[in-house]
Amino acid sequence: MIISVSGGKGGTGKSTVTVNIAILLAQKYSLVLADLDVEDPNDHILLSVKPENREPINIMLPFVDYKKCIKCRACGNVCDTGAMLLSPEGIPYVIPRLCSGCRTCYYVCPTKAIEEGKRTIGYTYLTNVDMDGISFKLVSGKLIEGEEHTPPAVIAAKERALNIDAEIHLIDTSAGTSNTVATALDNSKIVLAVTEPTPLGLHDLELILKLTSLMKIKTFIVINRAGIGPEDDHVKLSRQYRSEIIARIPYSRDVVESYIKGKPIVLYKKDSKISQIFYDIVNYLEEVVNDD
Amino acid sequence: MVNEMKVAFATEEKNGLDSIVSTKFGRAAYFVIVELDNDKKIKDNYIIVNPGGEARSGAAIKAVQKLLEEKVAVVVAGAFGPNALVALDEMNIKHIVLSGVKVSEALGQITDKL
Amino acid sequence: MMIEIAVASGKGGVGKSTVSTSIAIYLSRRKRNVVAIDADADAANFHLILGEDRWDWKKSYSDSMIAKIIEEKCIKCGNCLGKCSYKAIYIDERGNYRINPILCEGCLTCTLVCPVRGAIVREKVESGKLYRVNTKYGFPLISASLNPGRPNSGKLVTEEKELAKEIAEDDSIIIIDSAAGIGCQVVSSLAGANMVILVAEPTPASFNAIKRVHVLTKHFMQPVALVINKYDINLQMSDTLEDFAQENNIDLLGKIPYDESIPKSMASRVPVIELFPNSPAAKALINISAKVEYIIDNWHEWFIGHRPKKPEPYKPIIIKPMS
Repeated sequence: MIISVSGGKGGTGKSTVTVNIAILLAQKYSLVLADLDVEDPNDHILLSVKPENREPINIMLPFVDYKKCIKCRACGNVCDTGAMLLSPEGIPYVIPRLCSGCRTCYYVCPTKAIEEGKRTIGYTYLTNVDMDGISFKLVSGKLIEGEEHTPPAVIAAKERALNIDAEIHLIDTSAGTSNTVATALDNSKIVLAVTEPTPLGLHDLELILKLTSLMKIKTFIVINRAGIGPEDDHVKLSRQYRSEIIARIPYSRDVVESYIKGKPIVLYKKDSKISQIFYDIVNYLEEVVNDD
Repeated sequence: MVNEMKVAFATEEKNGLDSIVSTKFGRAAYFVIVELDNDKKIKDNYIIVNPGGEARSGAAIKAVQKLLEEKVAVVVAGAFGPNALVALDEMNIKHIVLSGVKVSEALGQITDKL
Repeated sequence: MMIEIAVASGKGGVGKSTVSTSIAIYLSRRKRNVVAIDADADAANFHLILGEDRWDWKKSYSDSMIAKIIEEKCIKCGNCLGKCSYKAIYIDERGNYRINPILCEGCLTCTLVCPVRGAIVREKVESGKLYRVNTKYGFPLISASLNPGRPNSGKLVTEEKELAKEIAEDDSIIIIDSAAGIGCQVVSSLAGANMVILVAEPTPASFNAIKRVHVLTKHFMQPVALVINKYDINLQMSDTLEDFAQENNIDLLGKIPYDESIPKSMASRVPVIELFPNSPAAKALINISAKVEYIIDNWHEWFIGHRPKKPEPYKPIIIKPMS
């Protein structure tokens, strides 16, 4: 069962929601948490663990065997991204920064002069999380600073997570609705869209709802920092996209304190109002899942 | 014939030698190509569409590829990005930073650098 | 003269748009001709900060292709399935081969390996939209949005700039709220700008991000200025940013304190310098904007004083035959 937590705007509290839900679900089910915010993963920070078991994320880079190359120019002609520059004689020069690893040059070369090289664009990590008797695994993906091509990193981290047998895979996506998020959400059974009652939050909520509606994934809405602004338009969107608002988490100093303590609030202050809301979210999710 | 050369000027318009040199290179709409004789006088000029103009990424590479096809020796534009520089330098095409004036005027300003 | 100012931060969420909107409004109040461009199509929020909710004009924009399998011609040989580098090809519930448009990057691989002519075709797909509005603050804004799943591109930014230049006048000040990151959309945001204003917050991630953008400004030999936002959340880090500016001849325009007026004004859809003009943040932003105006009025001197003295081109790695 794959559940994803997404939230259009950065800083909405998506990771906080994800981490707290992970802990509660892990009390009952075997769980893998996948942090697919590959440009800036931070679930490990909220869980106070150090990422371990690093593995490289590689994408294909063409390596030209100049002895086999007959200078037919096919590779340069088919390259969409400009990664293959041809000299006047037809000799290919490769610019790795521009290569997205599509392999078209590899397949088009008539003499198999292009070999499948690789280059590392990031790393995935697999870390065991053990907090207060609750255990689960955290898989994170991180792009090397300066790398821009996110989908391969998201796919690699997602695969590493899905290859681990577990009853629940909980995915923390990145902010926005670009291909990074879409790639992360692909194949999810349920999406929790985290938003906040501000115009930016509303705007990004609409983008997420459009995306999940396009991808035909059932979506529920969680309003974080409830109370800092009006929600009427959020409610309208909820109706328009038939995505129920299942929780409202008020702004609370407790959550801020839990950041500083490095312990998610459901462990740090089990009896707080906020923790109760997270319990309710998890109960609701369980009901929905069992209904199917 | 040794000192004849072709100079390309990036531009957004199709006004021949009156076209204003563009601030862009990779995504400039056109190149005005000027053929110079041994004495650096204009022998001929024509305009080509820059294939980089439509490119989603790596536009400068496509532009350089076209200039190579046209056997251009020098290119003039207002700015050259990282991809443009690496491609031009590798392919031994000289680049000159200049924009905002007509091609004819630009040519006058750069003749001593050719 | 027309002046193009790019405002960049290398990463989102540090207050870049707060700074660019404030400068645009201030200059417009001072009767300058301003044209604003929101080049951050992934998270376009310039219009949201201004409280604009309608566009005067919008246009479809396309720069991507997507591959599509023609069901009637597909012989289900499975050749394409394993070869897609993005795992975009799958078999649906009815046994038909399909391409996931979200994952497909529109390359030629599947069309090449498919044995049946015309069974896989590439078609242009809408990447997003371009917009224009004459804002209530007296200047036009060009913006863009991306369709779900589509990535930002240097070409989209270039299109926005073209639209801006069409409506700009000889003495216009063009303010570009740059795209996030350091990829081609940022290079396109910076290329052609007369000056760059870097916006940073005192965190390691933000500092690293502006250092990377700074490499690009050195490539283009642009004079650079710096604004430190929320400077008081980490005074030590803020000092580090100031040192960096000094070491690199970057003009520190100002430091903005952390101020609740900013999120409050965003929630109200009114820019902070309008809604809370006496707040600490607004005062800092107005000072910064006044400095920008001063730079524009004393352009030649400032330009000479802050432009890099020697070129430092940034050339990506290229792999070539060994001679």
